[in-house]
Amino acid sequence: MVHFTAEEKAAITGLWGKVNVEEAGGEALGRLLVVYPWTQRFFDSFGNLSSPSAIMGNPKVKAHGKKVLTSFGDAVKNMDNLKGAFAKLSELHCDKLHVDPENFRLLGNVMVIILASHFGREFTPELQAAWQKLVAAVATALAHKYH
Amino acid sequence: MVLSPADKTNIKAAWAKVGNHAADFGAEALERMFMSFPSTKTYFSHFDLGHNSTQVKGHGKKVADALTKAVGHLDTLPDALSDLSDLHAHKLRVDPVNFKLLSHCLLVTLAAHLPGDFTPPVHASLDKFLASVSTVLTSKYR
Repeated sequence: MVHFTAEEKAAITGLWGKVNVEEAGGEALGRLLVVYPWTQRFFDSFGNLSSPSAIMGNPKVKAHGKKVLTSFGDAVKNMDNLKGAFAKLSELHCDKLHVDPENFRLLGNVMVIILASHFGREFTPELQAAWQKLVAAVATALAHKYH
Repeated sequence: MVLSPADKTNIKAAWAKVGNHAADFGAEALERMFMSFPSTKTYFSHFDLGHNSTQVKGHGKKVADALTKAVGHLDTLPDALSDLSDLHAHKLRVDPVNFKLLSHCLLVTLAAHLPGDFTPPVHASLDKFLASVSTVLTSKYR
């Protein structure tokens, strides 16, 4: 089980408090679909994904991105029990959504990049390290119930 | 994976914005990588990896200079990076998984310093560029 130090938790929650979850969610999902176009395979029902600007402006992408990032907020609140917190979502992603867990790692790294672009110098190497630990742990938790 | 004309334009424009910060960005990317992915430090047991290490700065410049060369030879990457490819295959033998880690930290560094320029299409082109360079550097491994 992943263990977060008090400093890591403080760093993560401190930054999360400043994140506009709605905006960042849309941006994270949008960039995932732009940078790794094969991830679009899960979103046939989302309409126009034909160009970067279509993707970034797509209201379904924004809405779903917000959903995903809001859920990520639960991770920030449950860093001591990510597997428990994401058990149901893990089952959903395996049994209903059939999402390869590699996609969780890709999205996690896109989120880190967005945090860097929003926070600039404030997103220090130490802060990045704490966040990389969290996104990796969330990806593992989401994959935990796969069978 | 092929770099489109649009990718090449994006890559050159982004690297021009990096300008003479390339060496600093290279060093920062390495520092970020060592901190986020401690296993990468195993290749640098002979280095002082503390903050502001001269060795890390020097190595960051090496990495940046190689990328600058790559940007100038986007149509002939295997040829331009041939010596570096030999070096990584026969002497350094860095496990291929690590190129993704450094590439990610380079993108994080660029995003942190050039947020306005790091649009989604530019992000995509740079990701492809770093993946292409990584492929060339590991192409002679076996």
